[in-house]
Amino acid sequence: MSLATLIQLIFQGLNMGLIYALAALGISLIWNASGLFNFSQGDLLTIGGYIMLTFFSFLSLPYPVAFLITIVIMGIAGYLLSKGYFYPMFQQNFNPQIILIGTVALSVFIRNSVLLTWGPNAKTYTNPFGSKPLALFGVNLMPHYFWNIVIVAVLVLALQMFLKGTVIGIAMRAVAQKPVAASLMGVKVGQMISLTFLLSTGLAAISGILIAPIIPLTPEMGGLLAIKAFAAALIGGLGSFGGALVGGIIIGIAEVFFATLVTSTYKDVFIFAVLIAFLMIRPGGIFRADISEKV
Amino acid sequence: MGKIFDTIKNNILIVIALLLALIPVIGVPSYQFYIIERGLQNAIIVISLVILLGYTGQLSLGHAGLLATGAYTYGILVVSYNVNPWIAFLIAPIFTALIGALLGIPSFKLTGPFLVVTTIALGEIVRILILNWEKLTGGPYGLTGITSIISNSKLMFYLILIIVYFISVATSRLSVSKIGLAFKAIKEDEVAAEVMGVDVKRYKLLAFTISSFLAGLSGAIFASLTGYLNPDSFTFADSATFLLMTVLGGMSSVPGAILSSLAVTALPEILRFMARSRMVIYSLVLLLIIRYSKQLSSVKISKFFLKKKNKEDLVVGGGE
Amino acid sequence: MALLETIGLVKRFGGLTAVDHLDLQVNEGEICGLIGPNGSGKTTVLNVITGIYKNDGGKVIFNGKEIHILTPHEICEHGIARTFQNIRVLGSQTVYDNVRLGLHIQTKSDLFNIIFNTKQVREENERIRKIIEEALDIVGLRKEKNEITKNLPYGKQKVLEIARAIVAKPKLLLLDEPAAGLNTAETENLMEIVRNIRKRGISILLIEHEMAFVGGLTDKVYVINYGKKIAEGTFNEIKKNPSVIQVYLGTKGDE
Repeated sequence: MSLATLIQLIFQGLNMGLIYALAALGISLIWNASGLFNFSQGDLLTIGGYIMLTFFSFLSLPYPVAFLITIVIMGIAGYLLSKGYFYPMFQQNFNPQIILIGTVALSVFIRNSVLLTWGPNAKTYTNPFGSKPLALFGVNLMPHYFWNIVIVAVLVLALQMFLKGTVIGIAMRAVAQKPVAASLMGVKVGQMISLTFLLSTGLAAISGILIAPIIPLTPEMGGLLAIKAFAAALIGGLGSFGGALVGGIIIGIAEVFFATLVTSTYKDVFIFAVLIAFLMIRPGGIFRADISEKV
Repeated sequence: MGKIFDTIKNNILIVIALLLALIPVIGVPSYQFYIIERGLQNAIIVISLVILLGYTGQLSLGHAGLLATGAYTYGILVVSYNVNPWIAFLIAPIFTALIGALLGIPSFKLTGPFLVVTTIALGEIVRILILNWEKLTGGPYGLTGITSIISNSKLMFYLILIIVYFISVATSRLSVSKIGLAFKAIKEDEVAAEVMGVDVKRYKLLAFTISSFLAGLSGAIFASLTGYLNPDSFTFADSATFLLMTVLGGMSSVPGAILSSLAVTALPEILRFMARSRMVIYSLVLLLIIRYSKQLSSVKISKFFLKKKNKEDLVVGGGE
Repeated sequence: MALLETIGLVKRFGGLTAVDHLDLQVNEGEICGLIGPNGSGKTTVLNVITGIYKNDGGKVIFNGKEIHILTPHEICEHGIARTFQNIRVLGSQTVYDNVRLGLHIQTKSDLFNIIFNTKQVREENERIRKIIEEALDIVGLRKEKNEITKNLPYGKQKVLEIARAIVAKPKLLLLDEPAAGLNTAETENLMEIVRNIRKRGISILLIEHEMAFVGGLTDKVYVINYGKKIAEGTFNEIKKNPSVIQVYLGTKGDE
């Protein structure tokens, strides 16, 4: 393999990886805040992609405007979802397994809604960053590679600053770490969980937007993407911010290399096998995630 | 009056079976007849989840993969290898049980979402293998020309009914037995179970194996009923639907599982007048059922059966 | 020969040594106490003996066999049963079924017999019913046998756990703070139950903070602190032991 191909593949993998990472980050945030593993994250991503398609491609709004509208819509949807659906179930002490199954039902619901609204055919729209590869030092790289990296980097930094530097962010982290203590200190736990959902669906929407130039939109696309995002979150260490990023990048790059060097037919099988093996050997993931039970 | 009600309650499985047995006699239009058959076939996989999730507390979102394993094993044996359908019908669940036992191994170490993700991954692996192993499975074009175990559709219906009835009785007995109690102990407190002498790994493996056997059986019936197999019938959404049927049936009630399978299988057909939006309505209904499952549980059918089940426990336990 | 013997038992959690070269002996027919301040490693000792934790050094010998290499269910089969500090009963099952769990290793029904509800299964159910009712009589829960366990008051759940343990026919019963949270009447009743259990030939090792309970029941007491044994002897002997007094009172015992 030439150095040029190597760089090419790394960029390609990094791109997919960052999208997985964003989705995984959403999963980890909700897990931390509420102990719920959101199985509908992949389908939230899908619907984000379709909303973007509507505003950007059908309504021809400028890219940044459509981008913003999509995130706002999805964020509000996430907030309402938590307020109206998931948080009441926490409050009423539902069996956690039932709430988890609720996210599964949500996933099925979103998939059917997307199918009804936008139809079964794959949809693409013009790549806003241009579809002509840039030739840099003999390596052909798509412009969206760079844009995606920049957008994700800015986003991750902003999110870190929000969580560490603002009152709301600190309250959200307090709820995640010590919910009882936080509520005794006057933090509104329900509100914080709902805000976490808002962030998480917003992140899902961004992954849905960024993935559009890479793979076409279909109602079922969330299924496979979700498992990659789950894999990223679990391999990195569920609940860990850095873990989600590292996990996503590992999955993205491993996938691209396997597809190129071995076979693209079984690249998903390869990733799932890696995930299962990883969980068996190191269930807590790369970063922490203490899942052992105390006696 | 109350006495009659009690008798019905205590023999609910027989009552359901007898009512269903009337269906071919009164003559139902063939499509509706097929839907009822499919409902019963789904009941088997839902009972398999009752054992795994309701009793043992292990959540699987990979059961569509197991259903596919059973269905394709039957289909491939019958179509490509000219195996006698009855023999294929026997091999399919056994082979699925072996595959499913593999699914049980991660459960030794993993719990909660960690295990669920593993089951999803294994389900997807099965689907991708089917999709790409074209020589054997027909790939995306599907596998056609699968002969049914019994060509007479009424006899086929009775065969399925007998199988479902037998499985229901066996599962109810399992529930109150030593094995069922070990399963429930694992669900509630693995440490307590282990310390009281339950080999937790072995029993988890057993739960996965029994569950997969039933899933494979359901798959073989599916193949036999449809005569055609396609990877699209075995997606994550299907696994999710089986899970939702299980929850709706009350998670650990066998009669509840049968009724919810019949109802949920028929629901898209009942909603048919809504044409394209029916699947959305259908999944919305499922969402609402979960959201209000606690409120529903004070009145819903499953509670009715759960109460009855507790009584059964006592009967086997000797009563007062 | 001792029924249970730990030799140089070590258990570490990261840098912390929770059990530090501990030697214990429980002889057949004895009731032994294991006491020490909070966090001294008592429960860890039980967790290592029952195989929930793997030891980092030393041996646990039970009935002449090294059991520290076994899994918890195997250790149960060898004849050790236990209760937990924070009761671990099956809350959503009946009282009857909770005791039935204790009979797991003695129940022989296999899948085939269960599915066809053979005579063997029916006879076994009948046999089991008698054992369970007898055990419920011992702890005084016969009336509550069909209740859902989580609806029972705390004290009854605690003795239910004991009933579950004794139907397993253990040679040794480990009790982790059996009297904690019980009122005086309940504690006295519990002492009677424990004496009854000993009469049935079951040896007992118990952890307890309630000194009247320990004094009234035990033949021998081990005192540990920071995982190390600091004293052993009868309750009256250790009561006067200066290092024990120092550990419990935090000062040097002058008298």
